[in-house]
Amino acid sequence: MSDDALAAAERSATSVLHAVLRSRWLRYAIFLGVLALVPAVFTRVPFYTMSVGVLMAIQAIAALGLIPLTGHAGQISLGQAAFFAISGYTSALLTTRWHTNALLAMIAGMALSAAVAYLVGTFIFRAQGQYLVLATLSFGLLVSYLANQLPLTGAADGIPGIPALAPFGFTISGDVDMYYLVALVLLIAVIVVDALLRSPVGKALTALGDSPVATAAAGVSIAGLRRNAFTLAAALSALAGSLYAHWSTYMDPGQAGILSSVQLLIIATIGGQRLVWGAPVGAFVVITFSEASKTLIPKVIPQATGNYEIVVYGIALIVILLFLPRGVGGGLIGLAGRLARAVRGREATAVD
Amino acid sequence: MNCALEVSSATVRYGGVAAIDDLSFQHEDGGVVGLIGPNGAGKTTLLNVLSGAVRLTTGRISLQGRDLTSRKPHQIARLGITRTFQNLQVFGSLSVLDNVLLPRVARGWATAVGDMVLLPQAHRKVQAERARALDLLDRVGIAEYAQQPAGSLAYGLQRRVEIARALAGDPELILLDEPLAGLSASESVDLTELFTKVSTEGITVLLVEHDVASVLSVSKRVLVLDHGRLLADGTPDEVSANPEVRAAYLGEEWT
Ligand SMILES: Nc1ncnc2c1ncn2[C@@H]1O[C@H](COP(=O)(O)OP(=O)(O)O)[C@@H](O)[C@H]1O
Ligand SMILES: [Mg+2]
Repeated sequence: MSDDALAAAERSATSVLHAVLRSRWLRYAIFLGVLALVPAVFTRVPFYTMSVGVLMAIQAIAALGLIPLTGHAGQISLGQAAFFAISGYTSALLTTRWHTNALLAMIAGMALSAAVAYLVGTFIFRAQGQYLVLATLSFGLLVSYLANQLPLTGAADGIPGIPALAPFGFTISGDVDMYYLVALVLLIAVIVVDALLRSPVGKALTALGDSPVATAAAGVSIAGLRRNAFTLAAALSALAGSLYAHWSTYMDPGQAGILSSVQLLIIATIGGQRLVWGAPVGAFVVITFSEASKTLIPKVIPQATGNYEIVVYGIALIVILLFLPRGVGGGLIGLAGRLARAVRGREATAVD
Repeated sequence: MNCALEVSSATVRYGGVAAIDDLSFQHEDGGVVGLIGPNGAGKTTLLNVLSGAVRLTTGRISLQGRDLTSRKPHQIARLGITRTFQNLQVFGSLSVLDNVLLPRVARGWATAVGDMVLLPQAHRKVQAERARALDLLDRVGIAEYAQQPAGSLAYGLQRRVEIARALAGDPELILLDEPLAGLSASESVDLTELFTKVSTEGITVLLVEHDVASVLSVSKRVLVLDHGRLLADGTPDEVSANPEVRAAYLGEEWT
């Protein structure tokens, strides 16, 4: 009797699992549901606040472009934070100095970042192999240096007083409002990037990651493809950067730092680089770790300074990747697939 | 229509070593051209040069009178030279069908985008390409694996994926780098028959192969490389009668 009930429950759970694995619109709907539940949960659970929720969504958007660029095309970029900063500072400057509409400033920031990425990409992707990572690193260091030095960007002081976004005359005031906005942007970005990965362009990116020589021999310009993936990743990071600037009201050179770029790579890696879900899952896990270590480390080690956080990141990254080489997202998908197969296998033997 | 390939004084130097050394030959009348030679003779290097993967140190190559010397691999592919690789280079995480579709997509990104935004004309074209790709898979005998990840296929089947992918690029000249390596005798016979058939359709086949007997049996012309130089060039009969060729192959298989 209870065995029957258990078997029935298992069967329905498996059919749900199958449906989720098969239908991407169902996956988007579930993601929408999770995003909608965040405010209710984050306002009730310790050290999760709406401000942490906003940060997670923004970082997920910034890391999303690494899924096609790094996860598929195989190109590691240490320049993501540079594009985040270029757009954030553009938003900051246009709105504080010239009182440009915040939405226009955001679009300008994204356009500038994408244009810079296209030019930098055209230049660096003539090279091959491991030099490319160094080229993106040099570019990231250059932008970080400029943000720290230029009078235009307020040097070390940064730019304060950035106005909030006001889409359709509706001013985004609190963290809850901002959360709904960035969550919506994240959802749309995830659907768009997922569509790209399914398209022939996405297939070409996957091919490029599998074998650059064979991709070129198939008639694809690999320099052009890398440049375009780099530009897309930059545009998404730029979108996140402007959202951040208008939310925090303050841009400082730390946003352009190499550590921020490394954090975005960690987010994509921890979450899983092959699927779009890697970006939100990774942002959730990594920012949870960093927030937890901010609250917990001072309690455990009273003299600790900010640098301990990096140690915690490093250890977390190593531990997670030891057990889940395809990241948390990849691990979950693998687990779901195994479960589905195991149950199907048991049904098959039961029928025999 | 047969392709006119011209290689003039081609040299590729790696440090002090010339992998191919002042090599010149022409080919105009199609068919299967065999390219043999001991290990390290420069066969793969010549294929790399013809496909743009390696730049010539000095010399020139041209196809149909068009200079290819400093062109990029993807340009050369679109100009009509496609290839397979000695060390397998399938797109392991793509389906077998997607492997074969990529060369088609690369020639018409606009069509792919049009299909994505549901333009009926683009959609019909994409459907036609898929049908054609499936035909190609059928020809090389792997249609039943169309939807499987290419990386999950057995070694011999992956070689066929590469051949289908190279044919999908509508080449005038196809470069095959040891396509029979690691295959069973019956698989080898299947594929050599396919190469002959492909060549009768106007595609020139440049066949690099370790198995000399297979090369001699399908080629109308055989080039023998040794230390980056042309040791012999002629019909299979002429080449196999050449004492220098026999000397170069001393200790290696020769039937
Ligand atoms: N990338 C490379 N760097 C240095 N030497 C190379 C490289 N590729 C090939 N060679 C050398 O060039 C010669 C010809 O190699 P290859 O063209 O692979 O010969 P084959 O295909 O006939 O066996 C060999 O001596 C090989 O060691
Ligand atoms: Mg070779």
